[in-house]
Amino acid sequence: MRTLEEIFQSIDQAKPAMMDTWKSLVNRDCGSGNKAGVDSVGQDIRRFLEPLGFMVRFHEYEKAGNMLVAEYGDMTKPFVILTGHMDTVFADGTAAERPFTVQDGRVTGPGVLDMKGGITVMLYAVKTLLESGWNRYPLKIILAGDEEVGHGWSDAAQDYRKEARGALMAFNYETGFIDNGIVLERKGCAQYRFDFHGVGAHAGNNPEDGRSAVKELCHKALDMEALTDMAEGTTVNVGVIAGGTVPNAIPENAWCRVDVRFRTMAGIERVEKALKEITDKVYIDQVQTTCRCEVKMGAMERLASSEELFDKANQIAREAGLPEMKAIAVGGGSDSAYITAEGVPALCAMGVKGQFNHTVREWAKESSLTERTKLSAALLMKL
Amino acid sequence: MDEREKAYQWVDAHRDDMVSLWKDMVTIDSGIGVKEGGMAMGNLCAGILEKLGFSIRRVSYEKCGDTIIAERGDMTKPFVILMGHMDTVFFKGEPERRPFTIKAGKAYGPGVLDMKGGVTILLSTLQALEAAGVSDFPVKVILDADEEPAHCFSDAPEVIRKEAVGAKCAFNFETGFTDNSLVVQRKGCWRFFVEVYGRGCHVGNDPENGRSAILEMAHKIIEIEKLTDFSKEYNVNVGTIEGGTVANAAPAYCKVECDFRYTHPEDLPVLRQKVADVCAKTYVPDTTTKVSDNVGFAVMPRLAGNMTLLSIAQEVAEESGFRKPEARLCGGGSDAAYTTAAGVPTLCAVGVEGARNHTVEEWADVESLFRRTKQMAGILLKVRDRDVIE
Repeated sequence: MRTLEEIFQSIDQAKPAMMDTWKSLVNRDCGSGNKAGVDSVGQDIRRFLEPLGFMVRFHEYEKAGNMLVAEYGDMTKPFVILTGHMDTVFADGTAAERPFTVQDGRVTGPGVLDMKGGITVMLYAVKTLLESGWNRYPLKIILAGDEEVGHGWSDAAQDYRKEARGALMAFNYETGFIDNGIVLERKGCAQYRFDFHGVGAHAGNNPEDGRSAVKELCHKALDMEALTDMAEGTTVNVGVIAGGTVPNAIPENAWCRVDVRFRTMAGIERVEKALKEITDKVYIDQVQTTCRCEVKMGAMERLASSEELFDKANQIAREAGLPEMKAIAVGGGSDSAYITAEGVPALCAMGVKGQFNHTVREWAKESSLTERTKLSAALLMKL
Repeated sequence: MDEREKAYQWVDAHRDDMVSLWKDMVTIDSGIGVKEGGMAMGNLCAGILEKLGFSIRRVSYEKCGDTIIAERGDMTKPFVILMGHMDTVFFKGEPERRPFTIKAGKAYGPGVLDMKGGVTILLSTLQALEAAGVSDFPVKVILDADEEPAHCFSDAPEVIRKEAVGAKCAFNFETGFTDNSLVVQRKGCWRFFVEVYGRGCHVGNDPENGRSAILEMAHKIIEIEKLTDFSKEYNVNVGTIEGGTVANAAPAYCKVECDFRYTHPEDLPVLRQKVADVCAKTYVPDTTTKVSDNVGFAVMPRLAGNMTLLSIAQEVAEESGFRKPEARLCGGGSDAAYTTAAGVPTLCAVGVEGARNHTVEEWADVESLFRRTKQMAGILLKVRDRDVIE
């Protein structure tokens, strides 16, 4: 086994190959809706990992990109999870429109930050270590194919939890933060659509016959927003609202979309119970309310074991001459939620660093590619 | 044979001509914003009126057809106003898509009921009376071309108010009701927008910075809707709402369109103040609220003379064996608001009978075209010699 210094040298030498891999992962359309595109990423990664000794299998889904699971070593022993996702939020044609480009230390292209850079970091950390004789833990790589749509089209969320069971720790190569923040906690997110159905009437001729769906909605919007509890880490936002057709008709229909963020499962359970009561309550006689959950992603709860893991990791980074990290909590979700749900400590946002995910301004810091690969290599060697 | 019999006979003998005129009008595309169609309607009507001895004046506008003012007789004496609008609520091309047709006694086509049938009755009544030898009483015809968009292209309301001075009564040939009721009163309508400006934020990353425009608006809507008081004959409706862009951002903007119906003109300033008071209150800190007027319409108050005109219509109906017309308070507006504003007793909705105005299902009862022309001829014969209607 080589020294950490030698490993870091290998990583620096591998940079051209890493850039090529990153580029090939970015320069293809693989939005969540493009199953063929996402599956082609999975096949490329399989071809990368099998020569290193990984056993690769897929959870196959009809409508979503398949989930890749690659295992190395004796999986009956406590293993380390390296995870992420292969899909992007971008539409077909984006890869040709604005392909992988490097300029002044900034890398752009669809998914360059979220999270093709992170996948590249993960692959080369593993490759460099295994080629150096590293054999410290069994490894399980899990890469989802439909993270950006919250696994709404597959069973990936359940499959994630099953795969995570028995793990010692996990690293998620999601979007890294410019300020070197490492995510120990993410809010969960649920979104609901409420529909209100009242009785239309002409505002001039028979207003007394009308039952305003808008009015019912307003009463309930107040009830919903009142469920926000900042101390608990739970927010309820009535984000979008629409109703009625013309000013001179009592509105028969209205709807709204509601976003709930929660830090703990207890928080979402409380809100869901209350939303059901609000749905069933009637303010304006004869107005009916229905509620449908459209998105639900669990919270990455802050585990004490994650905090311990972070402290050790930060110590190792310091000793290895890598930048100081800071533990952060963020509002946006990731698949780390399914890992902490199994009690497995996790560090998230271990990928390349950059800004402006999900937009055309998305960019990644070129130098963070090798820096973050070194970080992962150091952690796998020393933890 | 008396004059009324002669007029009725003319109607019976000219049923095809009347339907043909009706069809010509529906075929003309005078939908919203179609100026050339409004002009064509004006030309058609002016041509017929000129033949009947009317002198024509026009008030022209940039974006809609002319308002036609046609006079006959000694206008220094108390005169009768016959009025209506020539535009329809439909968009350009509708007559081609849905031409005038008659099926099982019902006529269809854009504006067939609202109110080209009424304009046909207006002109036919004058023709029938002329055939009966009655063309000596002072009459003023006022036809405008942008009533449906609430006269947003013209100053027709001002023109009507001004032209109404010196009139003894007015008849507006608006959409008739199938129960033969006639409109003696209409509610007014104040339309307004309320807009709330809040502050957006990502609900996941910095929820504490959001100021929800929807939340602020919800508080206000509940208060605005509470202003409805049926015992005072006014009611408010928040008719449309839109706000926010995505579920995961605090909404920075929300807008509603409201419609306030009132029966008594003196209530309007009170209602305006009440809405201003509601909107002046802030529930969500840092949000701002703006109220602005949208196009509405004025009240047609129930003048005592309106009831006199109704009783004259009832007499005619009784004498002629028509169904007795009853008084109707209508929630929707019309140009009758402007003649009554000038103090001129007015009867509204004397046009053809039908239903489903402003929709593609709009239909008119063909037989009512003839019956109501007779009824109007009978009414005019009774009012022509009266100096005052009280």
